[in-house]
Amino acid sequence: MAVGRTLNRYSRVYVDGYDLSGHTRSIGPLACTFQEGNDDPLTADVIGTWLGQATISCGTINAMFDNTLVTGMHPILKTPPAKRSVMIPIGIRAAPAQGDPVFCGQFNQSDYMTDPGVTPSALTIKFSPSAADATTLAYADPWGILLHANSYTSDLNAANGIDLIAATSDGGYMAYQVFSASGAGHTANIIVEDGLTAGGAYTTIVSTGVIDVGTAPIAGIVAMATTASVRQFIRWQVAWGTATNITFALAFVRGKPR
Amino acid sequence: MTIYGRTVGKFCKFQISDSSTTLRDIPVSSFGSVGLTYAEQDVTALQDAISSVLNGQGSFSTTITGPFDNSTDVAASTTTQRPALSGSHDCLNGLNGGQVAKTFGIYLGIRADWAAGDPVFGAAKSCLISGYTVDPGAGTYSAKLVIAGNRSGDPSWGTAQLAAATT
Repeated sequence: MAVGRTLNRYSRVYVDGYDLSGHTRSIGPLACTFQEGNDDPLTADVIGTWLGQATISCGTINAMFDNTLVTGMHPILKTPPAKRSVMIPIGIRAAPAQGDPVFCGQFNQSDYMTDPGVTPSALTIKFSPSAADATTLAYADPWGILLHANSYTSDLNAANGIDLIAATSDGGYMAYQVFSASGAGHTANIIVEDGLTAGGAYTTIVSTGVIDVGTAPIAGIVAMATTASVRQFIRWQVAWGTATNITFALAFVRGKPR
Repeated sequence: MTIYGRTVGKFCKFQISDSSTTLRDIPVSSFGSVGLTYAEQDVTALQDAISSVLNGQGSFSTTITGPFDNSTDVAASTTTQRPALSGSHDCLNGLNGGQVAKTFGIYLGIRADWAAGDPVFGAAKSCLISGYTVDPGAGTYSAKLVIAGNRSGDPSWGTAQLAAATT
């Protein structure tokens, strides 16, 4: 994990368990804006503002048209409308790594528009704000941290993970993208653990439950209760079932006071 | 000693108290328009030779933009110091949608880093962030700053460093 400023080329776009970074030119704007209401009684010299509900959107994917079987943009996204689990890690002057910022949520794909006349033939895909049946409706924050960059894993995690500086009691949610696994019907449980101290005891705070990772690509979001505790250190973990390896990305968004 | 006269953009800075109430310098590339705007109420009568207005309530909001940056937080600068930049991402995303009014200041250094006596617009415990948007393609953010309904004071022009107060 690095800190500082970065470039577009180090962002990645994951949708429903597919890594679309090889087709995508840009995505965004990645927005979280709050409804504003005026506080303007007769006695006020200056008008104030109260904030209401958030609108979260990942904007539009600008991409190159590609009908490659299975992994091309065309077979994956040609049939809107559909709810999509989206994860956009922002690598800091390098490919995304553990600890980097990540934008995630579940959004309705509302169009699929090609421009055949340009070279190469282009594609735009618009996402509407958060889906009505998204599992994140209790959380007005799409920004989390990447706990597991898109990579192959076959072991348990014994590392200390990420230091969040302090514990909170505002819940949070995990977002996962499973790109591939060891074989059909193979199972595993992808977990976020927290701990009081680095290297101390870690316990599960949220998980996918046992899922058939063999059906990858799969993706989803699992939310905690909005009053759940999250201790200072968090890390990824896998409880292996019949699967022996998974290639996946995992992010965690810690809740904020409402 | 206070310098008077004109200045340039490279000597301005933006400070805001983060979610843990500590002041941070945030990297900014544009501020929009800074200052209070008062509503104009037209009170002209047909019998007047000229139109006339009364000013109503003041308002302020601005959208700042700057580089997306997740740098580690550092202590904010004070008088005569170069801005000590913390990351824009952690600070502004942490404040986005919050209901607790925050201290902010937009400092205009006069041909040098800001020093006590130079102009500053802001107020203690006075603002909220109502939107935070990242454009990965440009490597930038934009954030909208509004005046809080539950503020402690109205923003105004002054010449003293704004303290983080208690929020």
